[in-house]
Amino acid sequence: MKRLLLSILLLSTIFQYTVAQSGLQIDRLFDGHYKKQKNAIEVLVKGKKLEPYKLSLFRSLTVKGTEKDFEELEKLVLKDATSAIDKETGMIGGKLYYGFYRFPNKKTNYRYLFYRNASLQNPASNEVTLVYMEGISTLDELKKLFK
Amino acid sequence: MKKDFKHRFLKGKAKTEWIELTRRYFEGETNEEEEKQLRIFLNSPLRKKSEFEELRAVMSFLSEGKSWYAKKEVASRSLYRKAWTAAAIVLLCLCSGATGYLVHQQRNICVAYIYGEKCTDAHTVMQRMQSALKGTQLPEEEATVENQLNEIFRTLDEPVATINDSH
Repeated sequence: MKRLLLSILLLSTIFQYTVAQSGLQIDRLFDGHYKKQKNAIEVLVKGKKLEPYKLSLFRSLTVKGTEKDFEELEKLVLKDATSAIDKETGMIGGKLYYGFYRFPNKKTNYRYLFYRNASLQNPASNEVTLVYMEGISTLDELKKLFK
Repeated sequence: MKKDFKHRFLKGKAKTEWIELTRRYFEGETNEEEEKQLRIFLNSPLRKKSEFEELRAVMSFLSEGKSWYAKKEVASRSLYRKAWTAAAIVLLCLCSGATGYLVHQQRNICVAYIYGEKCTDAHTVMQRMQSALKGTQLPEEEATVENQLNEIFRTLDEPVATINDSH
């Protein structure tokens, strides 16, 4: 009886609700606090829907706001940028305008981070978009697919 | 040897002592040990007098009842254990099933939180996915200008050809 109860307890603790973790600083942005915000759009797609794109994970965050709202996002992206193995960036007025980063593979998956602060180029478009993806698609394949 | 001991033990008590013990039994004043002595006495050949018949009948009846209840208690305890085991097995199966279902759910997620509202409509979510990706891409005109600039600088970096004029 004790063994049975212990097994049940073990099963319960083994099973936990897990949010996809990339092991990057930007994970903090997807901890749930943007889900209820009226100035943000958060997208999470995993599994079957991404199969045509040869991706296993897609996360994005689009935030509308002021410079102050974007500071945190830029800070986290720049921190992660230090561990990128490939990158392409553009700066405007000392601020990160756009960034494309590729990180060391997680098992067989490529990992990409895209960032763009549209408000720096066009103040009327006061938004920042951040996209994180994992999958076996190469960058060229992704470019073709998402045209 | 055990038989001898019993015989000596029973013989050691006088008849009056047994009668007194019987009286105390009916008054509810005897302890377990004394009741045990009485049972042994009643089942022994030393019990000859009919004045102990009533005691014998009562003790037999009580003993029967006691053993019946003991059996019932054992059966009830056994049933209790079986019920608990069955409940635990059912719970384990439910947990395993729930775990499997939730793991499957975790593998396939398609959700968007649009300005605070949760949306699980696949078409809408995929549209938002496309929008987000477009949002990270440079506008075409910027891409064109950037490419042109890249071309210019690349040309400047190339070595200048020297022409030897023999004239």
